[in-house]
Amino acid sequence: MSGASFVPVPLQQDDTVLLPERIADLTGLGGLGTAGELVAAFIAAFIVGNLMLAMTGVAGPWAKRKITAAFTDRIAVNRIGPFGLLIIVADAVRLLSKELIIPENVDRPAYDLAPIVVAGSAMLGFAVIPMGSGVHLADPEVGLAYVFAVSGIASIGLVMAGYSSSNKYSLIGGLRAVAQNIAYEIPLVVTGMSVVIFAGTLQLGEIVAVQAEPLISLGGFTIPQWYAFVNPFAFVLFMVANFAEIGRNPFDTPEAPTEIVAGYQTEYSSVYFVLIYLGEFLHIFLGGAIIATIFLGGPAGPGPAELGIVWFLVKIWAVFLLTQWLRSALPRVRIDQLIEIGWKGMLVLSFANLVLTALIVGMIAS
Amino acid sequence: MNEWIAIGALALVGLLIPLGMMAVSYLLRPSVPETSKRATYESGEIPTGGTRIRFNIQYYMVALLFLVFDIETVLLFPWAVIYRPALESGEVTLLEVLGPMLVFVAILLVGLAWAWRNGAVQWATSPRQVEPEADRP
Repeated sequence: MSGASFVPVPLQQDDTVLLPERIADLTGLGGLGTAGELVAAFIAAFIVGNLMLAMTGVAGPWAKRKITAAFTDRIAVNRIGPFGLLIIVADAVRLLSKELIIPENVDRPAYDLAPIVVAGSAMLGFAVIPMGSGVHLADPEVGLAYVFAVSGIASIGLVMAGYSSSNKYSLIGGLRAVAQNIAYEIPLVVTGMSVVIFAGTLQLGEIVAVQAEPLISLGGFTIPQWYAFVNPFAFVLFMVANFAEIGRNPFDTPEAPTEIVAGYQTEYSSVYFVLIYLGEFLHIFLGGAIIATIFLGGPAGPGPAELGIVWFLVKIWAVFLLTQWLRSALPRVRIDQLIEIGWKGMLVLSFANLVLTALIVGMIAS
Repeated sequence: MNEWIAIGALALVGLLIPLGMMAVSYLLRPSVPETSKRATYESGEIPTGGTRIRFNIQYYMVALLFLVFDIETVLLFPWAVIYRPALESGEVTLLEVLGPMLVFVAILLVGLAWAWRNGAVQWATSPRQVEPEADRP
């Protein structure tokens, strides 16, 4: 890595305009002052929000079944539409028109708010993710810290769901979710910090820009400076911590169908269940988006820059595919093992990674 | 344009989408009131006891530990941001930038080692498993 010749990349190149500004320019809303800005920002947020909703719609009712079926040598949904794709519409109608059964002992405000918190907070993180092709809602200087902060809000929703359900399985599931999230939050953030040491910024747009620089050239084939290549150890650590953070196998103890029914979502039905389920999928994709942004060069890929969003989606779907692969391949760890892996293994390894990265970067830079 | 407006707009969208789905569901779904289906689920049995019970203190221990380490990560972020630019400006030596962070992390790792030795990160086993068999009532 050519650390000595590191030149800070300008905050934004001229061709990278954030989505709200682009919409303001295209529609002429920019001339309307603050009100126009607000409308443009809302339209942009609506586009990003619905893009994520659409991906979740494809992933939840269709892709998850198809992938699991492929791993277990079955066919899965194939009756409605091409490749069974219209099951998405059928499932949406089916799930939304289910009767909402609210158990008798629930804590009403918390029980109703939890699904909104889980689904809504998962959406927030995508605001700062540069998705390429100009789909980038905002690029604040604290980008990475912001993403970690808002992805932690879901824990509150999960413990609200677990505690207010007044069900023993839910209580255990909610508490497990929190214990797991806080155990793996530290390794996740500390490993993310080792990327910040390389990049020298928290701004996600800039972290992506730095990764576009070449790492090495092998016979006319240039490998970009993606942090997954620069620091593979941090990449693996971050992936593992991320799987625990989003509660996927082998760290799916909060739901653990064979132990505690469905964990925090045991007592949820109808649209509330859909919202919690949606929030979980949004979290998988948010985890994938963070991995793609800080380790895999964000929207970078071969071809013209307009293909950015395609490459970005390919990367986060690759992470989603990996979660489903692990779901089919790995056994679940026990809760005591999970806590010990987090506090005794991941935490120590992540700090070792941080100190080593700081030492190596320091040696090269000074 | 202020970037936080866009983030606030996404927060609004993130609120409106669940509310919209709830509204659609409210229009579509049937309501068949019947008391027995509203019973708390306990694998088909009649629920025994409440849920507001005392549970494993271990959750509290790891939460305490988390608070300490989370504040630490917040304090480390500014350091990580300025680390490389500071070194490249050539005005400070490696020891001056790296030393304080190493001391800071070392103090916390001593804390972790202490918690580790005291079993705070060891998931509590039930007293029956910990006590020697002779001491059991």
